[in-house]
Amino acid sequence: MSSFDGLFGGLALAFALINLVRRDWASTVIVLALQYLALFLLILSFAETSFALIRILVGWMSTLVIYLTLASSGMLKKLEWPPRFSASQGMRLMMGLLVIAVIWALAPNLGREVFPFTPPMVLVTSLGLMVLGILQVGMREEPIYVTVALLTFFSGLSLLYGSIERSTVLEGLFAALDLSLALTGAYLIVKVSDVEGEGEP
Amino acid sequence: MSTPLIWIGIPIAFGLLLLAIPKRRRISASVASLLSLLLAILAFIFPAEHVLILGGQRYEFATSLAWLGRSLTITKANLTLVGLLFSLNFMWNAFSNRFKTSMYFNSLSLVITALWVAVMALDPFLYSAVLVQLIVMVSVPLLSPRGQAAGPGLLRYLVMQSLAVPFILLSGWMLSGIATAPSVNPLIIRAAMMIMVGFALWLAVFPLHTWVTMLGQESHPWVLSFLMTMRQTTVLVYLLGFFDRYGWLRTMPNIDAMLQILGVVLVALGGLLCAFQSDLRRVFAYIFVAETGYAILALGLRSQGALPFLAMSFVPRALFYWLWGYTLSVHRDQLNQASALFTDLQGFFRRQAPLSMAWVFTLLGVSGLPLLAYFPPKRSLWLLSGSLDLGLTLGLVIGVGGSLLFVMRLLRTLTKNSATEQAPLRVPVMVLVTLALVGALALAIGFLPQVFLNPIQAILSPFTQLMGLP
Repeated sequence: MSSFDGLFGGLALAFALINLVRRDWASTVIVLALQYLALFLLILSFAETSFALIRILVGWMSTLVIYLTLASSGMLKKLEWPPRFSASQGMRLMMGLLVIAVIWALAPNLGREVFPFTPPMVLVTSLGLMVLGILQVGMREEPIYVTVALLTFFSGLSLLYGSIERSTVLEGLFAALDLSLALTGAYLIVKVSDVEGEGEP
Repeated sequence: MSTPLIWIGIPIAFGLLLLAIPKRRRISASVASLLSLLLAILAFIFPAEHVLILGGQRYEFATSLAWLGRSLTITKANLTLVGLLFSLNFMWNAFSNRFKTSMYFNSLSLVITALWVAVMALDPFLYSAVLVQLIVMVSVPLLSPRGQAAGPGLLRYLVMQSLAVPFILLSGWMLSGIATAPSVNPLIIRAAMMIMVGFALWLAVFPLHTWVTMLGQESHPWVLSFLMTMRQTTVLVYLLGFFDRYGWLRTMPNIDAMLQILGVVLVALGGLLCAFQSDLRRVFAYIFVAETGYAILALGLRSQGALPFLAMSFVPRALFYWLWGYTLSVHRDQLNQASALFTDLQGFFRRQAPLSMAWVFTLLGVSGLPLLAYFPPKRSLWLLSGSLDLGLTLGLVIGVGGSLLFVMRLLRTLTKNSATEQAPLRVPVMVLVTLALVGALALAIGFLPQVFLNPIQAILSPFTQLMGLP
């Protein structure tokens, strides 16, 4: 594992962890965009540039769709600074760290027995993103968080599958999936703002 | 011209065009219905040589379409399923503008049907897992139209279906690596478990079925019945594809016994859980669970020759799902009844007898009442299970008993004297005619299964290994 792989993988996981912990729509969108950037740099270490470029372009487009939806429905609030840290956030952080630690511990065996062609840091990052995505889905019910969690989950899956087998059609399908997920999320976010709007006097 | 272009490209193109005129419901419904009917008929009559002669002109059709280095393939062997899917789409679209469903129902239902066809046509077939997830995304606007907040059931649906994708994709990758390994390889168990979990998530197998129950309460019954019928039909055929392609999966020790037990447990649980429901909108989920159980049981009994009965069950099951969706939609949209709770249905028989009778008829029909459409395949499955193991029969008795108990409770509620006198409700004559026609069709299928159900067995013709065909 090169030190850069570790850095980029670690960054991607850290961003996913921030999204698990924070409850702030503006930072969620920014951190999601940064997560795709870290993944792009990680993918460059084992795949051709075009493959990595597709991932970041689609990821950023998905992020943009969510950002524009939030902005146009007036749901984007100013970033809170300095951020407050609550007990529930601490709890989520601990859970996220625990999950990453477990994956880190299991990864060598898993890599040897099931994913021998996947670089170790890619395996840790992809599994970490998938599990953090699932954790986030289990803890949040608002459409935006579910959408971001599922985008994180699928970015982990596409990273893992990309390290096993490179297929243009599958890449195309994953790209379509990410975009449709972002559009679905946007649709659900708009619905929430519609319903909230109707309730106002 | 190629077959994938006809049954995938054209409906997607029309679906996207119809998206531009969502408020013209009548036009959208007519176009979607007509196109589906045409494509269904074409699929059923398409010649085996893939050559059509029209007006003296000879048209030859390719069966494959290259797509991003891979291919979509639809041969004559696949066309029975394709015809069935477009027939289902026709059935749901033809009546759609009578109900207050999403304005995108017609356009998106065309896209969804085409995508289900693509699921079966994509080669390598494992990549279809991502296509199934795309269908989930496309179905979200239908399940939760604008103006309503997204319910927890919809989000759970999204999550559960997303979780299934890695199980199917990665299991397939593992399988390809061990295709030639001996059956004692531990990877086989691991891969098989992943396949089972993936399909359990897709098919809402107990205890992963809660999203269907919740969607039943949140979503329009017309939309839900359509989506679930398409899903159950295609995913079950897709599962057959796994068993057909992977010999070691078919020959895994005890796989048949496990499938039989799983199937019967689902039938029993579906029936038992159904028995204690008091909201008609939730019942569909339990019927769905029990029906998945019957399908898995048939797969487990394949050595006893049960697969043709699995294929035969697709039509009556879809017919009763349709009827269930139709009656609940009439109750909701044409009679403007917001609740289908037992407490609000007391004495409903006096207010609207035909609809009440239709509910009872549907539930009895889907339980396998003699003389009705579903009796021939279910009877065969009951007999095959009985000849094999008394425990299986007991499970099936519990399942059927649970459904019948629910019917009794429903009948009691519908005929109970209401505390307050309520005026009779009137439905349009067309509703009565439709109910009568569908009832007659259910009887006709029950009396003449060889005419209506035997041709559907051709769905199994692509699975040469599974069926032991040459």
